[in-house]
Amino acid sequence: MKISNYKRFFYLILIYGFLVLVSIVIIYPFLWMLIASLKLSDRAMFNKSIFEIFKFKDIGFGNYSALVGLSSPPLLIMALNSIVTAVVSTLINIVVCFFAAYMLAKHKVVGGKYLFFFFISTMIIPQEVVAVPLYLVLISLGLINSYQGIILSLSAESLSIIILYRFFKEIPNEIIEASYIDGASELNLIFKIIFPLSWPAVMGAILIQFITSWNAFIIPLITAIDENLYTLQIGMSYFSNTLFIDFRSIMALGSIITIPIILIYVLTQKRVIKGITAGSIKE
Amino acid sequence: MFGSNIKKKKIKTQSIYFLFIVPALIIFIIFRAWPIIYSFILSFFDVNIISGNTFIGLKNYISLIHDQTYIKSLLVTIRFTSIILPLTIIWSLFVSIFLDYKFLRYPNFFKSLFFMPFVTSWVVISLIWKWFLNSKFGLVNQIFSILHLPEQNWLTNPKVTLWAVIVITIWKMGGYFILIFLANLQIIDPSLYEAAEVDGANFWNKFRYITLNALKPAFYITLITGTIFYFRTFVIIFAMTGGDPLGTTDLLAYHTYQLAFRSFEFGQASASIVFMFAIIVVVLLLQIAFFERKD
Repeated sequence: MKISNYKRFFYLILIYGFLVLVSIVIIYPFLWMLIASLKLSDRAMFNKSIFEIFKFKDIGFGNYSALVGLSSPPLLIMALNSIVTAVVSTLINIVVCFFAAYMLAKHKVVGGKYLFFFFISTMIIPQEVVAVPLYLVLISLGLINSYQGIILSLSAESLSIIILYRFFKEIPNEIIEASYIDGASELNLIFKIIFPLSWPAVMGAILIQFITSWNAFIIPLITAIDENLYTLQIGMSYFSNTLFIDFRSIMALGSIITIPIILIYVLTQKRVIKGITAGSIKE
Repeated sequence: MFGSNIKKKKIKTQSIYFLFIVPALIIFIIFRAWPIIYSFILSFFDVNIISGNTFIGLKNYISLIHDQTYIKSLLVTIRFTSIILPLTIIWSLFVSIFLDYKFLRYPNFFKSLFFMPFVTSWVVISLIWKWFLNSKFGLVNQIFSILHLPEQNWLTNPKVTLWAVIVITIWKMGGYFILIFLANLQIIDPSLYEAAEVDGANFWNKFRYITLNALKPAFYITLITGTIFYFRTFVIIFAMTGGDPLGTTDLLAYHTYQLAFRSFEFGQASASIVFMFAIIVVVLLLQIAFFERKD
């Protein structure tokens, strides 16, 4: 008994040591970015010591105010573009996916199996692969260089359908049948019963679609030609290739992009994790 | 008479159902399915956005095959995928076994933390790591010098840059695969291990015959989703390496983007997308066939 206790203790130390080391490797870049964004001089960043940057000196919001002062493209416009494209594409995605997933999961739709397969199969061709022809499609639809082009392209993500479909499959059919007998119409049933019931899954889908749209890079990259359509992501890449802005300000922009997402993730991690792995983990 | 009424009603309800699906269908067809079909069509044309397209048969495919940089990009992509997939599996298997240790407290804390890079932006991650990889003052070389390892020119030495891309990609995506392995580990019935211990099985035997066996679905899903995830590797190349040095990180997704938006060879880029589509489908079918055969 005693020997096995020692053994357990030894294993635990080994495992905790390893996990803490990995945790540091995961967190360090984010922490470094945040501190670099608050440094007022380059001294700490070019220092040959890893810990130099953690010394509390030359700290301030100067890099952030330098960002606000930029005129082409202005930070405020990019932030608004990011928020508008992410929010609207999430709304469109959730609404269309909600109805489609509900119908496919709860009603005997002719060819429903094939339709569901079609929606899932769009996942195997990611947007990075489809970007070039998407650009040409957007040109032929007159949607290039427009909010509509960015928003509609971003809203075609089928993970929401999978998340909602799996949830609807678990709702007992009796609930639906009972409300039919009570004479409820299809829309009534959806809004009064199905939607409130499925709120946790809808919330999960909303969070994931928002994160995906917020982080989107290639779609705004090909669609936004005019600087006034740049999102924060495109702005970050654009600034990193110019000389008139220093690296600390780029890290400030990186923090502006990352902090909201990390806050959302920390507050809702269980839902986000469950949703993102909906297509790959069975429960 | 009665029968035709039922039929009419059925058609009516079916069209109502369909009405609810149509909005999603339209969006996914226009923005996901049509671009693939469109690139198949355009791959037979000399595409000119201003003066219009001319049919040129298989010329785009032929130029791609004869293009040394394209063949190199194809080989780099194969090299990248065949290194990163096994590494991903080994890494996530390793970490998830640790996280599954039954006396470990707060495994969910570590699980959530390791998943965090997955939800953050690729551009931001790529630019942070680009700074870390700087050969003069970057963090990676600082740590290498502390550990007395040879410092490297991470972004200019053709021998090491792809490895940097691989490690950063696993750093960002690894959490996803750890979750998959962990979920499959946690559903193993502990009585299986107890029974094996009674039969005198050692650690290796238990691992080999119980753990690995139970993880089959995890390997399966990791290979399939990993292939899809890694095939789309674009932003880190775009923002960190630019395909350099000497084209050793010029992955297909990036090369195709460059064909279209730097060389304006939209026809060849379309042909490249048809290639990529074919490769993804064939690899997925092979993986599915392999695993279905074993079960």
